[in-house]
Amino acid sequence: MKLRKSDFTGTGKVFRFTLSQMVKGKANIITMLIFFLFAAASIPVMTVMMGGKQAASADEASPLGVRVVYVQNETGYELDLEDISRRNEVFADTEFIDTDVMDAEWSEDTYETMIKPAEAYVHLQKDMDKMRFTVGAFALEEKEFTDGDLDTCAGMLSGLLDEARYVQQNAKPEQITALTSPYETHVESVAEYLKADETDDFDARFGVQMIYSIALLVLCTFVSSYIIQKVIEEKASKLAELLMVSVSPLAMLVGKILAVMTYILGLVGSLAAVMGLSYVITGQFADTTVLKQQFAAFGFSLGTLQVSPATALILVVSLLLGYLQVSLISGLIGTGCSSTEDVEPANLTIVMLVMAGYFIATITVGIGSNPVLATLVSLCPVSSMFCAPVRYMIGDIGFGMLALSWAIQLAVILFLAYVCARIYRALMMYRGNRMKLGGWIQMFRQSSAKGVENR
Amino acid sequence: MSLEVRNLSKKYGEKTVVENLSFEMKNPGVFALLGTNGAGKTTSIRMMLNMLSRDTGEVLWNGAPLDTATCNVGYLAEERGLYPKYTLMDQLIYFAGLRGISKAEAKKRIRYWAERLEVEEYLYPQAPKSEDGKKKRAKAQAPKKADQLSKGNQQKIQFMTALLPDPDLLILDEPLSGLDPVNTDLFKGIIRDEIAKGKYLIMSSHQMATVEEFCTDIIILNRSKTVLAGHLNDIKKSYGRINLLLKTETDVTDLIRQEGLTLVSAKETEYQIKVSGDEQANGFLKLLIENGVTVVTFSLREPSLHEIFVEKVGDVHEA
Repeated sequence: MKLRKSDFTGTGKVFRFTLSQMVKGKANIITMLIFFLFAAASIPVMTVMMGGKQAASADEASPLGVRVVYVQNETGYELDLEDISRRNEVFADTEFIDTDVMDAEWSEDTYETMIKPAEAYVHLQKDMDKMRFTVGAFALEEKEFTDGDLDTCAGMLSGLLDEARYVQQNAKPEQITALTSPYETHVESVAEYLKADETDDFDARFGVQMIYSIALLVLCTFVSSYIIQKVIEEKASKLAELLMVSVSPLAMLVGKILAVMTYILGLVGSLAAVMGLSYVITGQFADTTVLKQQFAAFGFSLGTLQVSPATALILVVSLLLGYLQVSLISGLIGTGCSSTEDVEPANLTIVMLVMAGYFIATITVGIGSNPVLATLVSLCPVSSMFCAPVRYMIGDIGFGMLALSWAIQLAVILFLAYVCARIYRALMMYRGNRMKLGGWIQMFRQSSAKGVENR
Repeated sequence: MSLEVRNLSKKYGEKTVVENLSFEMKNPGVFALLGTNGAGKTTSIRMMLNMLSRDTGEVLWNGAPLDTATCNVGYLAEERGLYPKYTLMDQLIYFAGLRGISKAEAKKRIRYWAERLEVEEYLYPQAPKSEDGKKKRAKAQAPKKADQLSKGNQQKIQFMTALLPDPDLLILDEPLSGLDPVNTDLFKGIIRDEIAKGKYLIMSSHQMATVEEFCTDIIILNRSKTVLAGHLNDIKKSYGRINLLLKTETDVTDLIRQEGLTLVSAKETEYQIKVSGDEQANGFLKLLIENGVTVVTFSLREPSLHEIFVEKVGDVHEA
């Protein structure tokens, strides 16, 4: 049996009518408004919840809680205390005072009577016998800052002391910079080192798979629910006969699938636009970069996704193929229902199927980059729509395998369309309990045996 | 134009639901598809309109297989339905659009049929008027949806959907069921107009009086089989004048028995009698006169469609 052009006559009219009624529907309007409201509010709320203002200065470091640091310098080197706040913004609110300019006797025994809870005392000494310098930092028991703040102050003064020593040795500024550059040490065993690499790789792979799978899962769940509702509409309203005089069942199904797709993509696009606008507006009042930082902390970043025009195209094609598969299955399962009471179990069937694909995708990606497994899940229908594009993006399969996966998915879509063309008319006329797989097969066999085209 | 239905058959598993249904409409008029419940009338119509696959047979319109491309069909299905939550106007424009009617033309036709079917108030809700006849500056009523209409008015809208494409072939499955007498007359008037316009109508109904009023040809189905088919007048003629209505001034029950006639009913001196034909009726009239009976009414007539239907379907049931 071949599909004819006339099978699709009226698709446009069904599409326009379905879409216009979806947009006009009060329930849909209310849902859209709620979504828009949530989308608009999500950015400022997340910014605040993730500590937007704090995070805004995280890169620049937040000011210390120490208000005054009394520095008793007994090293013999001159320290430029006034330059400290210029060197590092964390000391913007901290004043460094040389005790030499004060009319008081400072020592480790007396400082407690001379400082306040927001103040600290740092004593720098030179031990000529042992040829070493000591930096002691002191605060009251009831201090109003953290130990870290005190360490930061001590560290800064140690650095200043080092620089002063190099300057006295006639070191040039670039030499001083080289000598005082910070360094990081990382001590771990070989096993720990290798595991750390694996962990990073796992995070990246799992992150990408999760993002794509969740996006597809949400899309499919939305789609199946909408399409089942739409295809059952005529049967529940006893309109199937009236419409089938005017339009082929396949055109009706395709028109509805396209309408639901346009509606959902329009909704997603609008939500993205609202969120984008909200991001820009929120950015005027708060630092929204915290969102990026938080997502990056979870392993979600554009870098991880390796987003480029090519990958975006691959994702779009893959999403479209996945959408069409789920839509056609939803259309068939939905049309096998005779009343609105059957919608829920029918929808559950689709959700279970999609969930199976989702779990296969997320579980197998966690197993590692086994080439056989990657190929299998990328080619097998249902799991392929979740796995193939991701496996390609993370380098488990090549483009040839991805193309083969697409070809198989396309074949599944054509097969489903063929089944629709064959039995959809009979399904539309079917009345009774929700049609199960056995019923479909029987109906398909009957139509094949008769050789009668269901037109 | 002509419609030809040849050997339509349909089985569900081992059960035959329609067996070799054949008929022809060479001229405009109304063809009645009659039968008991479950006889296969609706299945036959669905097969004719390609909604159900056929095991055998074909349906030709002007010699070509019937479909919406070859024939402008209007169909009022037995299962009445409308989208309950969409506005009536949206639905009608959509249904018309599916038949290739432009929006502007559809609106024109909807206006016409809304007037004919007296449903304007549901399709064109207006702002309520004040006592002086001027429109209030109130908000106009919201467009009506199907679930806000009574069943009768929903049926009118459904009938409108069948009429909107101005069909050459109009198939009406139980068009008058569930209608009150006023709306029945309204529908009948429209059906008469369609006949006058030279349209081909196929009507399925259980209301024999209505079928008799409109139909020229009939087919009676019983348990999937055709038990009677042909021109209604010819069928009636073939039965002959077998119904005798007699009214006398005295009781003639004994004379009826004496002549061996079947008394169907008697109300005082008014009798419904079955005769075998003109000859037996004439002989009975002679007997009445010879016995000095004053005959007030002596009327011979052919059997009604109802009687033919009951006889035919009853025959098969008995068999």
